[in-house]
Parts: sequence; C-alpha cells; structure tokens
Amino acid sequence: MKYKISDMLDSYSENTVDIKSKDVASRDRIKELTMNKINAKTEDMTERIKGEISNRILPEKRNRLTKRGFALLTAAALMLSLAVTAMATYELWQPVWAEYFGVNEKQQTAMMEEGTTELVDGASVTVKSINTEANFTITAEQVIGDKHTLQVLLKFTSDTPGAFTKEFMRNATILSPIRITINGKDPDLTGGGGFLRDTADDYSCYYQFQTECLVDDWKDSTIVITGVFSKNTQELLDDPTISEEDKKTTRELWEIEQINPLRLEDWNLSFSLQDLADTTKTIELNKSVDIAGEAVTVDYIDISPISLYIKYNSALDESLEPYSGELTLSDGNTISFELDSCNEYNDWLYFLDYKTYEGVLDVSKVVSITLRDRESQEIIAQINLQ
Amino acid sequence: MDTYSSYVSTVIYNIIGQNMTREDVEETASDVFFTLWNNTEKLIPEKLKPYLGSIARNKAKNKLREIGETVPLEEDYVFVEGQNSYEIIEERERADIIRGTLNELSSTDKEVFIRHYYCYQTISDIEDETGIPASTIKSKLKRGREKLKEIFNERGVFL
Repeated sequence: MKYKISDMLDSYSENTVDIKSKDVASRDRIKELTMNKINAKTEDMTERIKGEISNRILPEKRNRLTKRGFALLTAAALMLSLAVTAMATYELWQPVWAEYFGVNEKQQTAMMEEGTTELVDGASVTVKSINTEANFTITAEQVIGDKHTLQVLLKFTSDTPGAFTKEFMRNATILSPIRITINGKDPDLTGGGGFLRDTADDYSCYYQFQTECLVDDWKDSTIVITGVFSKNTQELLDDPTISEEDKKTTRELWEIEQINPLRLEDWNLSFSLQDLADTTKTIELNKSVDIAGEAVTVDYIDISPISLYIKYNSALDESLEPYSGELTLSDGNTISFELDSCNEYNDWLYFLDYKTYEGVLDVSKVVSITLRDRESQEIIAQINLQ
Repeated sequence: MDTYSSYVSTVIYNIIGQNMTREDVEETASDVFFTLWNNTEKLIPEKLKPYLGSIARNKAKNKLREIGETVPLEEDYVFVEGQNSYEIIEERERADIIRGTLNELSSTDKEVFIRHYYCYQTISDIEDETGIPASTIKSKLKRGREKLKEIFNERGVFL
C-alpha cells in the first residue's frame, strides 16, 4: 500500500527547522483581516448573549405558557420590565450587573443615600469538575425581585485560569440549562439567562438569570437554582432537557467540546430570601384605555422599581410592535423607558432597554404612563393612574 | 502577530503559493491568527511558533484541497508491503512513529526531510537556504523515505 508522506506528517509538530521567511504577504493586511474576524465574532457573541438573556425561554416552559396564554385570552397581560434603579430595601447593584442594566453613578449614589439591605449573604455551592481536578464555585451574588419577576446574578469561579473563555460563556449559555425553583415549585411562567461579560480575570464570570413568576411576598422564600454542564457533546445531544431548536442553533458542537473540556455535573444552589421586600404598588383602574387603536379595559397596573405590569381584560392585536414610553411623575418629571424585545405570548410580555432609564423610581410618584410607537414615537396609549 | 506573520505567511505560501494569490495567503494567515485568538487558553507560550506553523500548514492544505490541487513534492509516497495497519493507527501513535523515524536519521537528513515534506520547501529553496546541492538533497530525501518504509513494515508486523 502507498501512503502520502506529507499527509502522514500532519500530526507532527515541528520546532527544529527555521525556514527563511519570505516577503509574500502584507503584515498590515493580515492584521486588518484578523481584527475584522475577531470584531465580527465579538459582536456576534455579544448579540447572542444579549439575545439569550432577553429571549431565551426554557423549552418545556414554552408550551405550558402558550397554553396558559390561550386560556387567558380574556385577561391578557402586558408586562413591561422597567429600568432597574433602586429602592430603599435593595442593596447596591453589583458592579457587573449595574453595568449591564445601565445603572449610572447617580442612581448608585441615590441608593447609598437611601440605605441598602443585604439580600443574599454569600450563598454558594462548590462543584467538582468532572474532567479535571479544578473546583468550580457558583455564588449567588445578588438577587432582586418584585411581584412579577425575580432576577439572580450568579458568579462562576474556577481554580483553573482560562476556564471561562468567551467561547465557554457563549456556548454554556446555550447548552447549559439553569432553572430556578421557588418554595419547592417551578415558577409558573418563564425564565432565561445568559453569561455576561467576563471579569477582569479569566477564571470567573457572571451569569444573569431572570424569571417571571407571581409571588406576593418573597420573605423567607427558598430559592433553589439547578444547572448542568454536560460532560461531552453526545450528552448534550442526548439531553432531553435541551430542545431540538436549541441544538440546531448550536453550531459546531464538537468544537465546543474541544475548546471547553471543563464541564460541570449537575449542581444546585439553595438559599433563602430573608430580606427581599416587594415594594410593588398595585393601582386598580378598571377603565377603558385606547391602546394602539383598540379599546381595552385595563384592570390594574403593578409598578415597582423593576417592572411595570399592565393587566387588561382583552387580547391586543399581536402585530403590536414593542414600544417606548415614559412615566410621568407628580413633580412633572418624566422617566423614559424603551422595550427592546417582546415574546409572542398572549401575555404580551416585554422587556426594556434599561440603559435609557436615568432616574430613581419612586413608585408612589407615578401619575401616568405613556406608551409610544418606538419608530414613530407616536403616542399609542396614555394611561392616567389617578 | 507582528513577530510571526512573516513566518506564518511563508508556511502558507509554500503550500498554496503556486496556485493562489497573495490575497489568498493573507486571508489564510488571518485565519491562522483568528484560530489562535479562539484557542488562547490551550496555548503553551514556548510552543507558540510550532503551534502557529501547524495551524498554518493545515489551513493551507485544506485550502488547496478545496480547489483540488496538491503540492508537487519529490516522491511524496512511501510504499508499504502487505496489508499494513496504518489506517487503524491512532494519530498520536502515527506521530510517534514519524518522530521515531526522523530521529533515526542524521540531523542533516532529518532537516532536509522536514523542510521538504513538512514545510513544503522546494528542492531549490532548500538548496538556497542550506547550501546543500540539489542532488544530495534528493539522496537524503530518498534515505528518509526508505527509513520510513522500513519502520512501517517493522511496526506492521506487530500491529
């Protein structure tokens, strides 16, 4: 049999021969092309992470929610997660989260002046990696919540430098389901999350998880967060908890396995929310409001420093685009918000771009809510709360 | 990138230079550095140059395969007797065999063999860089091929 010598040398690593370099290419051009690729990938990663954070719905929850949504056709709900500022009972934003939500220095200062309360006192769990001797520590850095949503910031730390690469964070976001159980039950609605930018070092990173759930009083609630990092690609492919859709959107599974040999087994993190005070203010309205040309009866509105929930008794046209808007306060000042995504449930659930929010919200001062078409800025709804 | 772009470009050029343009070389070189950026966590600093060379070599070969071309090398085949088990040899094992074979060659023979079959240097380039006459280079390459064949046949018995 004959074998090609040059191909047999593919697995050989050469370090003994110095070949003379030739002027066959432009160094600047190579640098330019390389940077273009790096920038494109970085942007892609950022978008994917943002998309995961905003839009990812745990697969098995999706069906449940859709059915529930249809069942609630006469009580469709619109929820707007408002810019997170602070309330007196919330502790200072953890820096990486503050950056993510766009909480500015003014807000941080205001929070300090108003006093803060510790929510989670270093709840953490250590997980032994399967393939290496490295220990991973997962810590709940901060939790905030109101009647309709709970947001958790986890910090992942490894003993091994290089454990959390950008690739790892991107792919782990897609392939590693993380769930939250509250008081022994799954939240009845949806959840999603993703890794935020990496920290200054390369052995720790943050994970932001948000879930929508109806809890009237968080005090002493027990939160259990579970997660899994599969050992190998085949496990990922066979994992029934990962939807086929997610598998299809995950490119180059084999590459992920090669790049990220550090995988965790199942882990869970449990802690109690001892000091989480819900300051949601419910305003009973029960009046007709014109929203995007449709007359609907708004039953009530819940406002908190982290979300705005508008509940009305009829379904809106599903073609309604996400909108921006502003809250008008009793002193005449306004606080603007912008919705950056919308899932397609009959609940009409929206999230906003927190970065446009520049005030510390005192819910008792909100007198009206204005919703605008995001493109034209035309007013599509004006809801007076008084 | 400043330090190694010439080296990487040369490795690539030796493989695709006869069939492709300068722009293709630059594009492939940028692929190499992009791959490096993607795999920084696997990098061992002391082995950066061979690592880059290996990526450059593989990417250039793949590019050449895409257009159905090959690099014309001096008798780029070794003939092994019988039903050899080469196909079932693991990659790591194959590398060990190759390394063992090369180490049994004299240092000059080994260098010439690597320059031609690994670095894809032409006989003429090797002559220019080492000062060894072309006829001697061919003899050394032949000795390398024979040694490789001999070792493969020996290993074939035991595999």
